[in-house]
Amino acid sequence: MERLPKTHEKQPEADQSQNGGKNTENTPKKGKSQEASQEQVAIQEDKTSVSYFGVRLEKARDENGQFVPKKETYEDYIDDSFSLELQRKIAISFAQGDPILIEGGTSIGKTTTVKKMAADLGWEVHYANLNGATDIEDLMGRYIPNSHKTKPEDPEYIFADGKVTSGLRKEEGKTKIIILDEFNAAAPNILIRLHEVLDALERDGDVVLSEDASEIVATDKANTKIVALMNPPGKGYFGREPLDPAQLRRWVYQKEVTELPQDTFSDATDALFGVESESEIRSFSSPHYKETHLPTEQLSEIPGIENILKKYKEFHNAAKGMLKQRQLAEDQPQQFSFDDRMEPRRVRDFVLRFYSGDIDETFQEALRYYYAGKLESDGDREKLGELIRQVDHISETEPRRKGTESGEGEDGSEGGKKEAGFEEFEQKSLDYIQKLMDEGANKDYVAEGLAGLDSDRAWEMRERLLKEGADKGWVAVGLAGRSVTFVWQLDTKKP
Amino acid sequence: MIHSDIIPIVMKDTMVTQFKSFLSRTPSQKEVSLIIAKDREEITEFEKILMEQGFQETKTAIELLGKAEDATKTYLNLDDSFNKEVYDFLVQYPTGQVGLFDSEQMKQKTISPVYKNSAVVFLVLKNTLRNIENKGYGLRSVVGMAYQS
Repeated sequence: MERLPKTHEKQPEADQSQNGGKNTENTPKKGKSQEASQEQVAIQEDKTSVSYFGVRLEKARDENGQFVPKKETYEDYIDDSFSLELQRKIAISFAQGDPILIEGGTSIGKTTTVKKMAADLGWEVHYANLNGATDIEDLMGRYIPNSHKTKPEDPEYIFADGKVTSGLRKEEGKTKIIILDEFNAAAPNILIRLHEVLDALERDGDVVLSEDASEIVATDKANTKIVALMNPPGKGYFGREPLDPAQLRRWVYQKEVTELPQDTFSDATDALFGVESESEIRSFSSPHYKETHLPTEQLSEIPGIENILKKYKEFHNAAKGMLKQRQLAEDQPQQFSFDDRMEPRRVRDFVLRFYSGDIDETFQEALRYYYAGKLESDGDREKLGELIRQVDHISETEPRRKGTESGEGEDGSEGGKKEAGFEEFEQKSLDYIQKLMDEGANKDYVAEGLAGLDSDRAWEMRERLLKEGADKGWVAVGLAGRSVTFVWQLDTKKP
Repeated sequence: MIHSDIIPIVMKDTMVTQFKSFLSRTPSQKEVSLIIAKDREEITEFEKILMEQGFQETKTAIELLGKAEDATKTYLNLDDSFNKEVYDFLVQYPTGQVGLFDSEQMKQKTISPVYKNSAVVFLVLKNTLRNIENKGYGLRSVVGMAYQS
């Protein structure tokens, strides 16, 4: 059983300066967590930075000012497993400079979590609630009479920043988060304008604020982070319409739960009452990151990078196809796509930042973050998770399954010499699988069970399963050790 | 036999006690509390008691910002002209930081609410609440304590 890591630890030197040398621990909600080892601390803070599972974010040099949330306000914030996971995801997007769109129910604490992180980091929060907002000037600013005009040469009007522009302005020593709350309740004209801002931020370009282009703000994604929050469309949230999937491509879209998971609800409630929870310990499984900041030119030197890239491309296409055919996210009103340009770039940037020797682990974590993170149901995530696990650096020509490794060719059926007894084993397996099928076994699992079987009869069985409605994703899973793109050919011909 | 006009008086006393008890619980809450009145008469009654209990009336969301930084008890009467700033205040108040644009001073104003000993209460007519929620502002999902007689 995994032990819950300590949730938040300050380095002693930081406490001397920032906490009056008082208590150096900030773990009032978890009794057992205090026993955890240094390596397992979920949130670590020192003088200049805060690390969320190893994702290190620099504190602002200027932590004062009215827009920085006060730390003491979040003293009773509970770092349960759900909120820690959420902080980890947000920290990754901040570190990567990606705008993040979090969809989840009202009760999961999206806004509070972002503001709490801002308080940790001394970052400013510029908040705009888009529900009912129709006035772009509220967000982007407007010209107002210059009340400070004292000389004739002073302008009659000056530009007053709106909620978004104040967050975009570069200021020495400051880092700013723009929160766009209830994003999918915004009027279309506002969304269009905000997407212009995102595009500018992506290329560190300028945003033109006035019609005559006399007011321009230069953006800097290193110091401005954008977080959009929204409730799920439908599902009892009035006026929340699904966004155009094309608009989602600009965001790292994270699908969170509509309601707090029962375990988390129970644990957080226990923590509020000072009661320790056992289930919290079981539910915790977040990885710690070790940031490496690999130079781009060294990517190609990672052993097995060609293989993993090949499989990633196949995975991307397969995931995209499954999404398109609604084999994934079938019950999610908010449609989205896996973008051919954005996702590979995001995955590349993730690998550059977090690769620490295990390319499979780093790549698969990136795929869970950028692909599986968009899916709501456990079943969908597991389905995609199966495909993600196949994205590794091992060449397809390398053996995977006992019985095929002695062949000289790609596998035993294509020129290689099969290990003695394998054909007999395959026939026995197929007879048994046939029996299970006749007895009405779940077709998806049967497809998975055909993994590694390569006789004509096995392929016929796959075709039959597909015709009878087996999920293509599971058939792909059942092709373990083979290219997942094979599955897309199965509709028309046997590979 | 009880005389018919005694009943409302007895009910009223009970209601007043219950209402005062509710108000006594509102300070130090981290969310705005909501009082739902059946009719205008009840609004008037509630306002009278609110003032007796030391609640100050606030007219605008920007005014609320100032109050939320002090340990004061305040209430805002919501009507059909419910504006966006009030909703913005309501949703941000529990998150530890509230930012609103002051359209008189033409600048953004942001505060961190001081919850200890302070109370923010919204007073609303039942029909008005329905109208506001029909506009997409889900007040009941965001408020903390709620009271209706």
